[in-house]
Amino acid sequence: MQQRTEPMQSDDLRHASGRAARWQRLVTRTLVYVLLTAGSIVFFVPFYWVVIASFKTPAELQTIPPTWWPQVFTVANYPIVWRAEFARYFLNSFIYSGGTTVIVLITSSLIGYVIVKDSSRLGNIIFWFILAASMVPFVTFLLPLFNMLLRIQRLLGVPMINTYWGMIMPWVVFPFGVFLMRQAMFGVPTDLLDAARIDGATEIGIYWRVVLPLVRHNMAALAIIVFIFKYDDLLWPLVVAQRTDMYPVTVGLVEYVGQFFIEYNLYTTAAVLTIAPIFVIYLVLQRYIIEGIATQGLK
Amino acid sequence: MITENWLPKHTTGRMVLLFAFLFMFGMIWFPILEMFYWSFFVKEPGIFEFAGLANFQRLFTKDPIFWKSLQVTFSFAVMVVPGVVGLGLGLALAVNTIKDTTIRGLFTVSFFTAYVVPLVAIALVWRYIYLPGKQGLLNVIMDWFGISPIRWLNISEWALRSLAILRIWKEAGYAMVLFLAGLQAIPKEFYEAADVDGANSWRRFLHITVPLLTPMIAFVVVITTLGAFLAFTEVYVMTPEAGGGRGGPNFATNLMAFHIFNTAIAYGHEGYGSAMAAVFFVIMVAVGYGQYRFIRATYEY
Repeated sequence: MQQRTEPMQSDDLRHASGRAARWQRLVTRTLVYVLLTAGSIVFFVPFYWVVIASFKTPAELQTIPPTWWPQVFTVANYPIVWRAEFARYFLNSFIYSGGTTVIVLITSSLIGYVIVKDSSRLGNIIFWFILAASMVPFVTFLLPLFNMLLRIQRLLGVPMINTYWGMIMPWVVFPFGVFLMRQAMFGVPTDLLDAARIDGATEIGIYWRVVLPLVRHNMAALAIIVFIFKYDDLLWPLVVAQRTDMYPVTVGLVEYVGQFFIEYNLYTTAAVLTIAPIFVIYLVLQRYIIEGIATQGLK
Repeated sequence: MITENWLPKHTTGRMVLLFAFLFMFGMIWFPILEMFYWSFFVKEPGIFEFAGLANFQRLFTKDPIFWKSLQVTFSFAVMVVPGVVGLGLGLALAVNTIKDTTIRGLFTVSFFTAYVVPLVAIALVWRYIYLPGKQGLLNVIMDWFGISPIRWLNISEWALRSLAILRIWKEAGYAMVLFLAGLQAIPKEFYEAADVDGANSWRRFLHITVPLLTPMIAFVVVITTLGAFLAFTEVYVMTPEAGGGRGGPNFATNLMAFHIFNTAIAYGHEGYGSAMAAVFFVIMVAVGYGQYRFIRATYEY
């Protein structure tokens, strides 16, 4: 008899403690979910607030306290902002950040390839020379950099100020990109390159047909990061794009709001329009963007 | 045959390196040298006269605004870095407890959104949220809890904090993603071993998670610190002349990058601005070196 009750007792006990642990786990998990959901709502309120504001009438935006949902739903703000040269600003932004992205991809992969696969002391020195440059605060040499563009304009006769090429110039060799592509090139097997070489492939052919396909994921991550960051660039375009028709959307937005600071309907609509392209890109490519940024930190 | 192939390879390689060197030198290193050179001159549009150390003398002895700006910049970093690291770590630990990959991904994506959207636009959005009185969203929400409205960007004691809040909100998701990657890299066996030893969750956190996450924490601290020191957009967009002064009420948000930009470019004091830039450059090198030592120390751990 005793032999039967004893194990039953301990079995009961274990059962009870198991239930308590499960209960505790359930409470913890619910708490985490509730907190995280509340947190994401708080994180999203600013977006909600500006999008809602862009659909309100100017009169409603002046009411105190503000309304949480438009009483009169209007899309009239959008054409007004769009017509105010915003179409042109978007074009400039896409040329500036898109052009920078393409150039950075080419130069970074080439330089990374040469540094790793044709390794030499000179290559290493130049790599550190590039990397050290990424630590320098941009604002400290902003003015001499502008002066350098003026100098190039004068000496070579190539227009730099108020041109796309001038805006892209400082980013042609992009330290972060070189760093990322150098890391990627370590993953390319040298045997494969030698095999291609023995088959009579030219160096350009090897780079284009063998190396680039192998590092295409790294290239994609780099492309997204560069595009998003250059789209958000303010300081440099502020200096080099002086004519209104050369403004990228960031400068255009700040200048536009400067004119209409009290007119919240135009101000918020312009902000929504500026965010929209990046938001769409993010929604479509979120997995790659997050992965790209997370692995960048692991290096 | 091998030699024939290797020769052009080296030549092309050298040309690529030369190209990289030329651009780096022309676009970064030469301008830095020129900045140092200009810092010894009185340089305004149309004027260019050697002045010796006059700029630095003025900077160190007769310019309270510069010192205020430096102090504000450090305060900003001191507010932002613990906020970003703390909030990012908290979010990462919470999200990491979720087993379901879809839900975890959903939370990751939603917290990360703020980091991706353009700062120029989102700073404008926050300027709208920070409107004084009951017009701004933040004051409306605070009113629910019985807190009286604050004139966020318009008074010197809150202006800098307002900018810090925006930056913490924006960068916490970035820190979270990095911490999540760090947490996922910790081998499960460590936790299983701790379970066998009967360690509770707090001890597991303290003795496994924290030490193994330290390199990542160090990395996030460094990145966030450098970002905070170079902050420019927020000031330019949110407090250009709020309250009557430049860079916030009573220069409360006159961060260094904004101050240098204003002096050298907006006001055209190119020589004096260069002297400021030179001092800031040296400070940033010192900060960078300190952080390098800090990272080295954590990696050895």
